[in-house]
Amino acid sequence: MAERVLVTGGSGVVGSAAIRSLVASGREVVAMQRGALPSELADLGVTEARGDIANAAAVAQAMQGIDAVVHAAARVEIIGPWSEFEAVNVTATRTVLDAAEGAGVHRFVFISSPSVAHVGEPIVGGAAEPADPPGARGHYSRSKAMAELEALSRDRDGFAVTAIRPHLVWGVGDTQLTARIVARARAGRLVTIGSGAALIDTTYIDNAGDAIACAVARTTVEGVHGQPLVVSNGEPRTVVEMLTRIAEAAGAPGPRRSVPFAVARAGGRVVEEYWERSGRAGEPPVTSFLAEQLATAHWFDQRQTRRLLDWTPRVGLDEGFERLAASYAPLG
Amino acid sequence: MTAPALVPPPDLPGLDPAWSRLVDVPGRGTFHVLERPATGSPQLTVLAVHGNPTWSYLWRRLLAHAPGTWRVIAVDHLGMGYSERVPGVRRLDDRIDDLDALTDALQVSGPVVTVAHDWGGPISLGWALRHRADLRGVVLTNTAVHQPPGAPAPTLIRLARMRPVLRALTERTPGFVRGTTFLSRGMPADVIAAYRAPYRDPRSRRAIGDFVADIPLNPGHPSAAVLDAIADEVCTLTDVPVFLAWGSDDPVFSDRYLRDLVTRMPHADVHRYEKARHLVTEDAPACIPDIVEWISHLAEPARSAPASAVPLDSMDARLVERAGDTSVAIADLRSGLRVSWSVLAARTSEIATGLREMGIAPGDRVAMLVPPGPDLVAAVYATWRIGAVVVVADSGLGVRGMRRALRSAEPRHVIGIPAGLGLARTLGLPGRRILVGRTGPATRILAADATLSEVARVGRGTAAMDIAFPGPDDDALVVFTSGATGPAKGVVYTHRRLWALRDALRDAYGIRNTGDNPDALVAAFAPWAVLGPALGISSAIPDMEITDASSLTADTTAAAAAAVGGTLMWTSPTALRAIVSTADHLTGSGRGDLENLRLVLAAGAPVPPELLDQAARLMPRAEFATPYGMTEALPLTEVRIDELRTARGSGVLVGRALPGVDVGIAPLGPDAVPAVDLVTTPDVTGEIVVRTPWMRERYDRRWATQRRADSPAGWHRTGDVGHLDAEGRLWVEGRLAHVLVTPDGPVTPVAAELAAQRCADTSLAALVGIGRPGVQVPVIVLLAPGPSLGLADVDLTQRVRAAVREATGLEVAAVLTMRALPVDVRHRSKIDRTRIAREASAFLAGEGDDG
Repeated sequence: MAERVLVTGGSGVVGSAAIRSLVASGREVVAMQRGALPSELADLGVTEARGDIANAAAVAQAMQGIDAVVHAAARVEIIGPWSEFEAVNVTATRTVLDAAEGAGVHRFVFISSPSVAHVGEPIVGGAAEPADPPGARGHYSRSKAMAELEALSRDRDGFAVTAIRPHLVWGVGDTQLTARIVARARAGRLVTIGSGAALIDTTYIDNAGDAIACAVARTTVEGVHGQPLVVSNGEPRTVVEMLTRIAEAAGAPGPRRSVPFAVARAGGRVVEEYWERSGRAGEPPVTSFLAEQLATAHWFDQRQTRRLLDWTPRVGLDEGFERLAASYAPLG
Repeated sequence: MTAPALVPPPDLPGLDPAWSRLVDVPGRGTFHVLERPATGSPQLTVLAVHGNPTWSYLWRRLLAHAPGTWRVIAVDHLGMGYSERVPGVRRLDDRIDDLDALTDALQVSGPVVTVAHDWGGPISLGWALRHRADLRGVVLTNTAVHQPPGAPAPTLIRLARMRPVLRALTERTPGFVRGTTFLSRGMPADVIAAYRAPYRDPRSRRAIGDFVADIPLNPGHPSAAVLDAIADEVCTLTDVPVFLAWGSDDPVFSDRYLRDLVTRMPHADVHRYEKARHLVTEDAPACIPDIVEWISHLAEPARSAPASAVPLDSMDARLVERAGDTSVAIADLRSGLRVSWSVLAARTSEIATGLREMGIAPGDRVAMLVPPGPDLVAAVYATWRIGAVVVVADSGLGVRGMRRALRSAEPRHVIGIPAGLGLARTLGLPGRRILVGRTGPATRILAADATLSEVARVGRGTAAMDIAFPGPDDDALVVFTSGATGPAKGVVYTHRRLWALRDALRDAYGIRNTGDNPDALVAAFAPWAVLGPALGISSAIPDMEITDASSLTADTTAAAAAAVGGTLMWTSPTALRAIVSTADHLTGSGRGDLENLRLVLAAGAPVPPELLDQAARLMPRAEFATPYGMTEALPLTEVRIDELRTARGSGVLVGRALPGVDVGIAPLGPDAVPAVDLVTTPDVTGEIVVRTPWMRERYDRRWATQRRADSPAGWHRTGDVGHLDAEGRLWVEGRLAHVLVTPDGPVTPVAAELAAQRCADTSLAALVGIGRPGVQVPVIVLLAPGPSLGLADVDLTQRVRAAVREATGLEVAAVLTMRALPVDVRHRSKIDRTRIAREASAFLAGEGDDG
């Protein structure tokens, strides 16, 4: 009988990529999210368990007969009150962990982010450092850092827990990073911060899904359980090249201007405060976290991840850009 | 004024608290020592002794690096470090007695190697001389046993010894402790703090003042007799291996103290660490590992095979043969001087006799600060004739490099033009100063003892002396590496090796000095004119700026060829380009003179094919060849230009080994460390290792460099990486130090650079690695106008990436541009990729909190 995997946040960018890879590898997938599952996922034969992960009873219900969990549901906005990040990313994660343990699930893959350990210094071929809630920048990173520590602390015999940190996921179907870059480029508002020379590595969306599917298979392997693993394409590029090529794939111009780093970061701080105080909805143009992310090198040593997960990225950057361009190409 | 012994605080950087122990020696006091015991019974014991005002912390890396089979003990003298503050003044003999009693208490038994720094030197030597039966070796770092006569004591010591200053500087204030930790090139703050930790208050510093007061600066001093006895007795340590590991820039124990120690122990191995100051173990990270390596090598059997016998020869043999020949031996088109064989032979012989008369002895080093020309040639052959050693610090090193080179080689005498003697004077070079040029006011200002002409006159007026010829294994020449990546290294050639070099050139290039069509050399790379007389061929130096090959023209080259009937030309790509670009002005007869050239050697850097085509039109009869080699061994291989045109492969084709040259490859491991064993398997990339009778004898006063280079024994590790192809031809892929280590393994730079250069249409590109070895990503840096360092645009980046991928399979992360790439002064072609990597890394790290 096929292994049954519960994926939370199934309609999200990473969650849906994970579902596609899990189905492709022969798993039976149960997807849990508040809204309806996108039809292309439903068409794959995925079972829907609609519900809120904050609802313990609903989660316990969805956990029945499940072998492994991929917990991808999270609040990913770049701004908002701490209480909302805490409720979704910390408290609800605890709920999902409790339910999984209670239901006798043996493997648990927590979807995290490299930003949980990014405290502002350049990361140059770095390893997956332990999550650092006090050092992490911004509510999102801090709440994910707390949740990751909580999840990994549950790792024990019979309940293997790992944390997968996909780094800057982009690609066809990405409504977060990719869509934002393209929207700004089309509006002529795409800028680089500082020289744009910081090297970053990124993850094509399908590769993130594959890595998660491999992690589900290998959660119990020594070095995987109890540990965070950063996942990326392992192809660092400058920020300006990534922005330019994503924008150009969508037929929009790349960044034309540059904002000095100090200005962007200071501006970001002011904006964050204003947004929070005013309770303004929508997305601010910049935050200090974003400024740092776009001005500081962060790329990772992928040797251990690839060995431990027995995984290599299937879609290289060049192919990723081609796929993106094809998806934006005018039909007909 | 007393205080008990203590253990150091547990958090000093690099210090393992488990090493600390307190040893009570009845009747003397309690010592704090660092001890790293051996596992099992020790193979040997290392006894490390600090100086003033440091403490055993100085040796923490020695304890950390030493093999487990050694017992390593580093002591704190009584009153110093964390040892007991005992009452009374301890003099040198007390301190030797202390050490003696301590090693008894620690039950130290042989074999023992002593290691010491600063005033720990005399104490450790005092101990060593009392324990000769157990003594296996002696290591000394920046120390002294004797104040060289006529020379002032170190300034810092003299200052500290002035009576009102002494206690104030050494005890009441932390001035002396601070001063000493500042005698380093810049230690981290926490290490400086660790050095100062035991000397925080005046009471804890009393022994520091006593130590300074105990330095015998005059014969009546209570410790003078003890120190003199040690200084005399170390001369008897002829059967004990000695290693002198020396910081070159120590304002306290400067090179003259090294010279004094070498005079007393001529068999000592020396390694002089460039730019390291007094605390050499801190300033030169290699120092402690090298000391460990030196001690380890004592257990090995001797490596050097006895040298084979060769028939006695002399560099001036051809010159002497032609002593009756009135044809031109050397034509200097710069001065217009033409000197015949008979005049050159006579003048060389006169100068040789004159130099002997002036007291220049066989083995003395003589620096030649003279541009190529008849004077240099005569001075060099005269110096060789009397068995003295020629030191050539050429202007290609740059002024700073020349100064460092001369200081490191320590010539005893100088022959120089006014600027050269001026340099010798500012460097305080000792011995005779001989001026090349006319006497005049300058003679006195430059403190010249004589002009070269006066030396010749002295020689002429002296009854013919029977001057002994130097032996084959006597030193003949010290030259310097170009120092493209770090300080220039002195390279020593013996006479035997120079004879072999002369014969190799003759055989490799079919050089004939007799018969109907004797060869003659156009030295467009001027230093090679010096080898003309050894080969017995005439040579001509074109009218050019010696240090600027681009000042050459087709006209001046043709004139030089005409002056001697030139058939050979030694040149460089830059010189060749200059000749080609001025060919339009050439007259008919000038064309004829260039057409007589039968062989053109271009050395220093690869020659672009289009330049060769143009040169070939100008010199249609000439065969073009580029010899591959380096300061330590040249020439090694040769490639005929026709092969270069069609050559496609990873790297630069340098051709086949010349007869008499062995080439091996030391394959690179996954971490880019070359293997010990050599292979000749095709297409295996590794360090290029060579062996030939005309390679260097050794590096000068760089024991550790020599040891690493001499592997296997009798071979030379070139520091270049490359491979042999199926036809046995050698390809150079870059410098070992510049190899990237990516997650997929080592990557050599040249193939990617050539692809990038072609794609971006630039003359220079560098491939560097960003990140730690093992996870490095490749980045291309192009020479291009624009900012000093900037990003290439996304379009060019993608084109260069595709070109590099196509040529090498390598995926370049980013493409940068630089307005000027750092290159060496001598060739203007060797890229300092290490420096570029440093700058590119900072640039690509972005602007985070550290940026």
